[in-house]
Amino acid sequence: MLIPCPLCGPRDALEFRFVDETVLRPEPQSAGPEQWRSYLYLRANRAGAVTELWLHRSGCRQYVVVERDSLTNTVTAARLARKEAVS
Amino acid sequence: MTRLQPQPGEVIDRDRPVRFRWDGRDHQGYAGDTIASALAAAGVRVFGRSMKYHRPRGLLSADFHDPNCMVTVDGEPNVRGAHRLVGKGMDVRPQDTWPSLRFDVKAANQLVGRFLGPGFYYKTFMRPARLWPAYEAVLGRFSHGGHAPSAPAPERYDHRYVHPDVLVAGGGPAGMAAAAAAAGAGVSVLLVEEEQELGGHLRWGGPDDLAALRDLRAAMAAGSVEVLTDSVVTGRYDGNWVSVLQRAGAGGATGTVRERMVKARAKHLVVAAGLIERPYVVGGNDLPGVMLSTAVRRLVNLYAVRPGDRAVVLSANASGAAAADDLRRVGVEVVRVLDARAGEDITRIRGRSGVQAVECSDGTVVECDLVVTAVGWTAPLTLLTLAGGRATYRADAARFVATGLPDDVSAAGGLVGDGTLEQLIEHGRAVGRDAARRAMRVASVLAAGVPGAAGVPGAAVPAVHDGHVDVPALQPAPHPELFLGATDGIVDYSEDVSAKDLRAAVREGYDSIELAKRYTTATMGPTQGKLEAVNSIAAVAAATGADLAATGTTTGRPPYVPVSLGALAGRSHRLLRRSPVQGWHDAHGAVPLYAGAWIRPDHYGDSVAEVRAVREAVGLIDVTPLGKFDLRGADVPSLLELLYVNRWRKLDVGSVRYGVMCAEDGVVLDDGVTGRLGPEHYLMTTTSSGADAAHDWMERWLQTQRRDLQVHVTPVTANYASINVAGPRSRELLARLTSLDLSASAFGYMRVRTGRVADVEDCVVWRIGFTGELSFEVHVPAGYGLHVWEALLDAGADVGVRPFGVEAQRILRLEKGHLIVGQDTDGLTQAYAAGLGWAVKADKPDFAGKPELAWQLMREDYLHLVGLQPVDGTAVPPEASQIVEDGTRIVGRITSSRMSPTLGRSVCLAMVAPHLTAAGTTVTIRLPGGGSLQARVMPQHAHVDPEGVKLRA
Amino acid sequence: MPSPVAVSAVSGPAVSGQGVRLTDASGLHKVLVRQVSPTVAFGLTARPAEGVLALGYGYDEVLLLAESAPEPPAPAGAPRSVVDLTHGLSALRLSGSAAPELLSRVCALDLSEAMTPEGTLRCCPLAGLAVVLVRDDVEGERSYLVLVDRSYGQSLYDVLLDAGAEFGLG
Repeated sequence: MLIPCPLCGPRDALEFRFVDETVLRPEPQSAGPEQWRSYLYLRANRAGAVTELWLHRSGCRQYVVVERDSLTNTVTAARLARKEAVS
Repeated sequence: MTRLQPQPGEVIDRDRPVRFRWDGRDHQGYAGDTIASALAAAGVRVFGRSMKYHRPRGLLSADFHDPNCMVTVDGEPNVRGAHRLVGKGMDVRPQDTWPSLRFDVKAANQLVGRFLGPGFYYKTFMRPARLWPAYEAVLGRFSHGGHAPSAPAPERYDHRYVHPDVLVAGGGPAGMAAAAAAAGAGVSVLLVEEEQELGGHLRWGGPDDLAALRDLRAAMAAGSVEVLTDSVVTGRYDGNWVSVLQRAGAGGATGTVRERMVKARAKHLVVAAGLIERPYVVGGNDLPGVMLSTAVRRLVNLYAVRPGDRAVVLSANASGAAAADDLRRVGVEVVRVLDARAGEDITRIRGRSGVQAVECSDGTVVECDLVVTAVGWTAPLTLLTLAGGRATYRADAARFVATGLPDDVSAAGGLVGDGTLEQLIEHGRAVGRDAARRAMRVASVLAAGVPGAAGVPGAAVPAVHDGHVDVPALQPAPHPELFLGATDGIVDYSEDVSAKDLRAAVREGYDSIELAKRYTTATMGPTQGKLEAVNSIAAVAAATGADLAATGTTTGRPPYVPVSLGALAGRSHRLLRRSPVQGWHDAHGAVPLYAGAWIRPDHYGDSVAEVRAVREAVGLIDVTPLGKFDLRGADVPSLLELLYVNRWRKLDVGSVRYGVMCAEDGVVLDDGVTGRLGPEHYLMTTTSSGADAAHDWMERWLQTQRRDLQVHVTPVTANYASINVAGPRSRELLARLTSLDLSASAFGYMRVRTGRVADVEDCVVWRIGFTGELSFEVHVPAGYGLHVWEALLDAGADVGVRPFGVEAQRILRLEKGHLIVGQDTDGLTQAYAAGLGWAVKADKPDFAGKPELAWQLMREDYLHLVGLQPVDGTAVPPEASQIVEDGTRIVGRITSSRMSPTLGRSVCLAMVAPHLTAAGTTVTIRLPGGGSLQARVMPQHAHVDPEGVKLRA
Repeated sequence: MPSPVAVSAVSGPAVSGQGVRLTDASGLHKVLVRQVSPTVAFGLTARPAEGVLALGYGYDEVLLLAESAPEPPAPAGAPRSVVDLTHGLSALRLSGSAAPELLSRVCALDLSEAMTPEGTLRCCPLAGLAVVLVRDDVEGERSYLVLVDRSYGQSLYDVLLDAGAEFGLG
């Protein structure tokens, strides 16, 4: 699989490490146990369009947000995580 | 079989005889002969024995895929004898025979054949279980294939990465035409051909074929096509990542490389794999002397070998007719030609160690020594299905074809359909031009976003970008369906699976092609279905009553052909990280410890003496692998407060603090000290094994969740050589080499200074104490690391300085009860369990793991880390020994354990259940080999100097 | 007492073969500059001053390489940090017409003229090591600087020497 790194260009997925689905971190002061544990352990694992966080560990070492179709294994987009709009 | 007069297209060089040995006897062939063709010319008919029944086997296809001719060459097992060229002095031996090829004791299997049905592996040799070692020993003797040599091959195996614009798999007429056309369009082309020479079926054809072959080969030589022969495309992966196993010419400029895995990122893949002839499934079809029409044509035309004296031909197509013509031309008596299209058939082939006669469908019996079949073609679709194509059955052509290819893969030639030679070549040319066009589009995509990449030099290939290339249609020609004859024969020659076996499998309930394949192992041998997949499908279809289309194919998976482990591995390197002092350690008797990628000194011959030196005088340890990070910016304290459970805002310049890092689930991730070197400059340390993970963790926060923090993190682990000077005389020693004031009042515990040590500027020195003794850790710019190490040893000779290694350090820190993250904690140990609650500042607004740590405090159910001393001070329980209660319930385990030289007794750290943590409690340790030990819980982790008096000296 | 001399992590000698040469360039001064708008874009190189090679090294990082200690560029925007990495990186120089062919044994990147021309750099794996591969031709001859974490310097040398066996490197 090729991932189009925003800094390096298209590179083999083996240069990257899959980090996590993009999940929202709950407010630590107010989050209850169920909410926090959902953040720690529960993942959607969707079949189809997914948004994921990858690390280009053998390349530019940037965290990259990747849009991928988990069924066809096609990557549609990849953006620098540090440039994502604040959610 | 004998050698014929020179043939027009022969590839042997009669001026260059080659002597070799076969089955212990001397033989002679010619340069250009394969092992099989040279032996066939010498009259050899039996080349091996079948796997299960050990029936004699002769040449079937006489090419790369021939299943009956696997031999061992100079110790190399499983060599394809009908493909490997003879070499001077080669020692070739048959496989799977004992004691010899002629008289094979294992042929006795034939007598018990009816008990050796499919799946007999699963049914026999099961009971009694205690005899399994004996069964294994016996079955081992019967295992298939050659023996792996016990000595490593002297030659190398290597890899190579290539980036061809167009990769063409298959060097027959269509493949060559495609390669030439693509090269003509200005793109780079790699052509891969499994045989020793380009040409495909043209090589054994008539004068027109040979003429076309000459032209096409000339086009290859003229253009910029890189050609790999004796090489196979073994797989196609995502994004046209294509693996090629190269044999010929793998050696490169000077070295000897036996096999090379060429890994290609092809912009476009053209598959021109041609067609593979199918055998006929009929009784006696595996007797020596039964051959495919293409085998006959190869033997006669390429190698000038006379395949027999009296032939019967079963023909359903032009290849059968051509084979009959070739035989007649060289004086073989073609006794009978059965026209399969007119319904004539072979009922059974008779013989014992070779063909003796044929029973025809009209009732006559014809004596002969050669049976030639031409009953159909299989398109080798695997590469196309790996690329996402689907195999669809065409009943009119008796063949599967592939549909639904992705944009970056196309097929050319016989693989697609049939036609005249001109039509095949024209198809190849068109596919090649189209491939070049599509490759250039992919080139733009691959260059997009690559800094400075020139991309596609548009001017160089003007005509190729736009427009459309018309690829002429090529349809498979009509062909009768001829798979299974009137009697049962062998379907898979390599795995010795017959039509009867497949029928029995279906009857037992394995009624899909996938199940029947796995149960019988049909198509699972070295040929991987090329000769037998369609016949297997036909057999299963016949047994279930479905048709071939409904039965379908099995899923093809790489590798396309067996690949040696050497080729997959390539060159292996132990990639070590070394400290600048490692050379000194090696030269002074250090026993190495491999910790992650680092090589470190475990000890220098006597770790007990090293411990004593540190407790009584002074020792030096090289701790360069310690994770070190240079942190800059106004927001560093905020980052530290986020990553660590401690407080950092009030850490002043010149101070050092120990920190505990937890993950978001409260589990201890890492620990280490961080010192403030300047207003916005910190040096953070982590464990050596956790350094890379800590770096990724920090960057993750900075690049995702906390982009508001402006912090520059630079890893400096290797930038500094780190030397820990430990012991009561450490201050005395270090003071001799630096002008820094190291006195107790000027340089307190947990303070940091930068200055000159042993004439080296910009060293960072801090006072910490992992070993529990007075100690200074010196971080030296790495190029000077060895210099400072040696200077310390020289300067301290009179105070008894000696180096100590990781083992001594482990003992020293254990005596002081200092935990090691990952050794005394595990993936579930949250901070309070490790006794690190004192560091947790819960009133901070936010830090990693805060909520979970708050909830941990409300629970009672977790294991606690305690100091432990076995009642018998001479017993040292192995680390990871379980602590048990009432004989069976596990209530903890030993995490660290050593004999303490300082106390003269064993000391441990352990995790124990909460009701056992009170000082003085006796626990029972279950030893791994059986037996148990009693041990007492200590009031604190430290066994030596619990008040820490020596540290703060 | 004589001034201490900095020692490279690479203990192998300079070697040459058919169309390729390998030398240790670890003694180069290396200064890492981080600032909001780096002076050199990622993946490209520049020569801001005589004898100084500036590498677009990271997202907001520029690495300056020079025989003698280079002067960091004037700060374009705060905040900025300067870290001396002279001792933190090993550097090897691989030169000669066969250099890309040798590298193709251990590096999966497309090193053709179109994809990796003069003046570019690539952060990529090389035989499993994370390196920075810099295309830096010298007097028209194909040449690459390979930078790696200092502690891997000897391992990188060993890998390139082994890959060079085919080319008579030694």
